[in-house]
Amino acid sequence: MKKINNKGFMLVETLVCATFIVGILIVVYVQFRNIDQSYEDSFKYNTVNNLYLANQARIYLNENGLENLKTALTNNDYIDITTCPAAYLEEVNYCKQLFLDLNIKQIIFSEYDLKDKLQEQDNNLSLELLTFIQRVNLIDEGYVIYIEFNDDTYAILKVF
Amino acid sequence: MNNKGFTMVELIVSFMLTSIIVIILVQIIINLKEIYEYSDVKTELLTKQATISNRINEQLLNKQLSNIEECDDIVNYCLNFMFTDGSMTKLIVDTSNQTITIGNDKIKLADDSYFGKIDASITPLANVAENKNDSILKIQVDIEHDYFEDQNFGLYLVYQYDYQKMNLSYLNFG
Repeated sequence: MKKINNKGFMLVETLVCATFIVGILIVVYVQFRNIDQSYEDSFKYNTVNNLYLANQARIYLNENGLENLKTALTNNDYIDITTCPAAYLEEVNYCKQLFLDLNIKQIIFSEYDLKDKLQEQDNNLSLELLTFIQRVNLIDEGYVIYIEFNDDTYAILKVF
Repeated sequence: MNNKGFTMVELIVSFMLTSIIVIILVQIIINLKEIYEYSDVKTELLTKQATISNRINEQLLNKQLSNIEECDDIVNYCLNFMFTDGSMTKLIVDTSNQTITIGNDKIKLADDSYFGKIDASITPLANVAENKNDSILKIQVDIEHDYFEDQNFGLYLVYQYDYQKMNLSYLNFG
């Protein structure tokens, strides 16, 4: 009579356990990648150097059209001032030279709660800038400027 | 028939699943090792950058600049910032000793970092209304590290001024 050896695992049992373990590891790895990315991004947000550069942009806006921008926000969630639009700003040539010297890639003016108003995708803003706006929550009133610099760093500064 | 042992299919499937698990774990360990190795260095570089930037920018924000002159130092890069309250601050970049001095504070570069481009420029713009800033001063002292290519941990200073108040149209930083 044939002796049946019932010790050990069946293939199905092994497959199920292994699939379960692999699934858990994939979840762990994905979470780890998110943490790693946040860690890398933290070095790019609001560095001391960039905050002082952003302050120079603020000084310019205070002298050259801040009230126009505030008025324009009644009809817009934000205003992209990267190209120094003459509709809002004065001394446009000076503005362009200043933004060039500040290494600004994109600069937008908005109220502090832009995060709540933005769509998930906005064709006028880069994905990285959108991510920065969604993540940073440092200012709880008033008007702000969000800046993306050419070296892929970012800054937010309150504008008075 | 000897029924001990594994079938070929079981062996192949087990081997594949084990490989996937090992690859994921190794990737996590490699990333953690990189973070451990580089985070110390990057933190030091960024801290020194913040210190340098703070030292000079705080003075420019809190005082009114009246003039900037090149120092008599022929060995190092040196600028003398003069303020309307009569005070002065020197910015000295010593490339041989790898230090940067701002006023009384001398900061040594992090190990294995080095100076890159050092430059200053002034851009005056015409046809700007009176009593508004119409000139832009830019001072650049790059600090680089081989671990972090294409990243700059140095000083990048931009300062706006009214040419009528500070008659500065040329600067030689070197």
